[in-house]
Amino acid sequence: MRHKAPWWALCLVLFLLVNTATEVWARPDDLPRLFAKAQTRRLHEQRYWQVLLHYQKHSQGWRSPIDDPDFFLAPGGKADPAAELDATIQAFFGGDEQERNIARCRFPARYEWLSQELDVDAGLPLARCPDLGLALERLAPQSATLVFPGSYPNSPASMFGHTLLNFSGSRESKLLAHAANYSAFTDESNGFAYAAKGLTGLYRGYFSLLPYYEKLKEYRGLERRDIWEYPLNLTAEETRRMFLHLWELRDIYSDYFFFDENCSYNLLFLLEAARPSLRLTDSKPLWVLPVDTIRWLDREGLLGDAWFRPSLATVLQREMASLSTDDLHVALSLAKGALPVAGLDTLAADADARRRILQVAARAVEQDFLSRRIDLPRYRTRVLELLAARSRLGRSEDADGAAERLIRPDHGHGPTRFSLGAGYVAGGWVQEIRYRPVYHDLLDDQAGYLAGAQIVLGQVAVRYLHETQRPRLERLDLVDLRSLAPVTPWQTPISWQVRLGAEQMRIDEDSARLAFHFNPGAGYSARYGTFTGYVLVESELRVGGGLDEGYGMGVGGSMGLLIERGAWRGLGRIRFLDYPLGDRHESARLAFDQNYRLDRNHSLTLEFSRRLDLGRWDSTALMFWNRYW
Amino acid sequence: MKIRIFLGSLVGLMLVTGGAWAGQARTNCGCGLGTLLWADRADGSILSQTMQVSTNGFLGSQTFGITSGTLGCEQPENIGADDQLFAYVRDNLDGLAQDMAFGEGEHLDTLAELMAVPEGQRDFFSGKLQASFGDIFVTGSESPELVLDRIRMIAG
Repeated sequence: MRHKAPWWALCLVLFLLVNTATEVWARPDDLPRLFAKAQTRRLHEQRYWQVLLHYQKHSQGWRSPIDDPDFFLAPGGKADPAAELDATIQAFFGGDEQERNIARCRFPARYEWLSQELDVDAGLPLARCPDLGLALERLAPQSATLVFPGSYPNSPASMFGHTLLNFSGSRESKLLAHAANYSAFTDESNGFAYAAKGLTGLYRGYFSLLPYYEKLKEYRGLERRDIWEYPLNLTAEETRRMFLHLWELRDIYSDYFFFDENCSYNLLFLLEAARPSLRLTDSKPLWVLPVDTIRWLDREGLLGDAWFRPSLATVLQREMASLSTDDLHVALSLAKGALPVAGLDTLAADADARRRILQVAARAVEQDFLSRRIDLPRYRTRVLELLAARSRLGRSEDADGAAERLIRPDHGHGPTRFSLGAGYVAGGWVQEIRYRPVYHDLLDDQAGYLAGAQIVLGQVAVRYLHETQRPRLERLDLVDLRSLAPVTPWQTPISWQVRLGAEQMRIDEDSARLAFHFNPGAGYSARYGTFTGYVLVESELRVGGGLDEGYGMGVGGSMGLLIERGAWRGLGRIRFLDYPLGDRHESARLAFDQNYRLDRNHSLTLEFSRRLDLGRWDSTALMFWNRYW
Repeated sequence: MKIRIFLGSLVGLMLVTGGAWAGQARTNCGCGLGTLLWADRADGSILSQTMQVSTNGFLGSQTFGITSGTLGCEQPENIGADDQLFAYVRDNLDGLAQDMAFGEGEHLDTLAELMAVPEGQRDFFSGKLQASFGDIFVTGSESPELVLDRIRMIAG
């Protein structure tokens, strides 16, 4: 209307203006002009269009990883940005008013951008959209926070942590934020199917948006995961745009892959929608670890000061540690119901001690309930009694003592490790190269990682023997998981390990053969100060050409002690297994490994071991220089 | 694609060794302390926790809940403009009870903000609620409506 238009068109527009306030510009026969304009300005090639549809460059052109056909308005929209743009213009600016408004309210970010680029008066304020309007009013998104719940102790599946994105309005309380969360959707009750499907892309991933306090109940309460919150340096307008794009992804699925197209990767699309100049999803590595995405965002200068939110279990542990042994005993007896609350007055004289005892007891009862050790009626009676007694003692005199200095997860060592080493093995000099793609072993510097959790996937070791002058594959650790969850007065978790891989086995004086192993184990561990000790019962299946009958199946056990002293960590262990099935033999190992941290991304390793296998004793001494990134 | 399926299968195998128990259905319904502590989760069993964590999966139908899910506990009809406050109290009864008894905490601060208690009066507000804890929570099975009424009376 701003340029040459026939007089009757002008009249019509005036007529429409008077009659329907929303129809400022809209005339179906105006569509060709809009198509032409989009074409001249090559809007389908613009970055924001690519961002909103998640188009990524592939060898055969553009393609969106979104699998839901409802996300695209053109039939081939998944791989055709231009056709998708035309269909979108048609949907927003063609058809009747009702159809147009449905499309606009469904894809508000596309609508805002297109009406701006095509210089069309935004005929529909988004506030008038039924659900979106309410959401915008309620949330009034102004700022956003990246939330990182760490791993869930003892659960391999949560090992890499998780990320979600909080939207906050004008409210001060962080609890009132709303959390956007990308996750696999399922009502599967079969554990096997659940795990298998979740990891191989057979589930559909959807975004959800729920009050943050609900997510906290889940992560911080039930799953005992410590949480880090990273405020994002985004403007209110960028945050709003991000929210509009989230809205477009409502009820839209993509196939969920645990390793790459996962929760953390999908959140990056939202951030690009907030600030299209960010290039976060362009180069997709083979795996996307949540903590890596935090590093990427930090590199872009997007993160403010991180804030730590301990899990309920961590809070309980801290408060327990601040009690004397006697007081702790009283608190636990109270929580178990073994000691009546009225008896507390005679046991602890000073009010501050009583306050802390009652708090520990009340939190412990809550943990008991969350772990299903007590039922609802018992929880109510016990917790109410303890809380009522606590409420009569007034507020605590001082705040908690200085909190321990914590290292942000993204400030820990990099998960990928490359090692160069040399040493003396079974009477000959060797050199060795190791590569571990992910993630952390018990001897790596602990800062930023969960204590006692080892996650090694895909580690390869190649050894060059001077004797034979040839390199050989020495070891392959497809999976080497270990979880040392210490027994506490409050919990007796099972510590466990699972190893799957292959290793060279010496069969006679000059030859060795590769043998595969599957080696699960379970037991208990305990922590005292900087010492962690464990005892595990193990079984192992070995398969290899060097073994009689081609395999050996054994049982046995191992025990070890992990020691931390500043930058130095040591692990001493003894392991013995007897193989009564297949190739009958015994295997024993005595080892002491140490790691010395040089800086965040460098360390030195020293390994000593003496080992019995297939009736032969060997000694090993190796030293490695490690680089992490 | 193949590599990630391979990697995924490997970790899947590990999980399988952990066993494949069946999940239990949610058993707690109704209002009061403890009923909404488990959020959307089926229960607190190891399986439902471990397996749901593996894919960060969720059960339940509500995906875009602006105020909150209303699991087993309905909102009164005539709540009007206070529905945010009501939903907050209903969904956070356990955290609120704890903070009230301790006389401080994030749940209590949030309640004060939602009830528009001025900054300078918040200490007084939480002190008053702490002193009246025994009048607010008597049996633990009070409906959130009743709890909110009592809080309003006391905070006056």
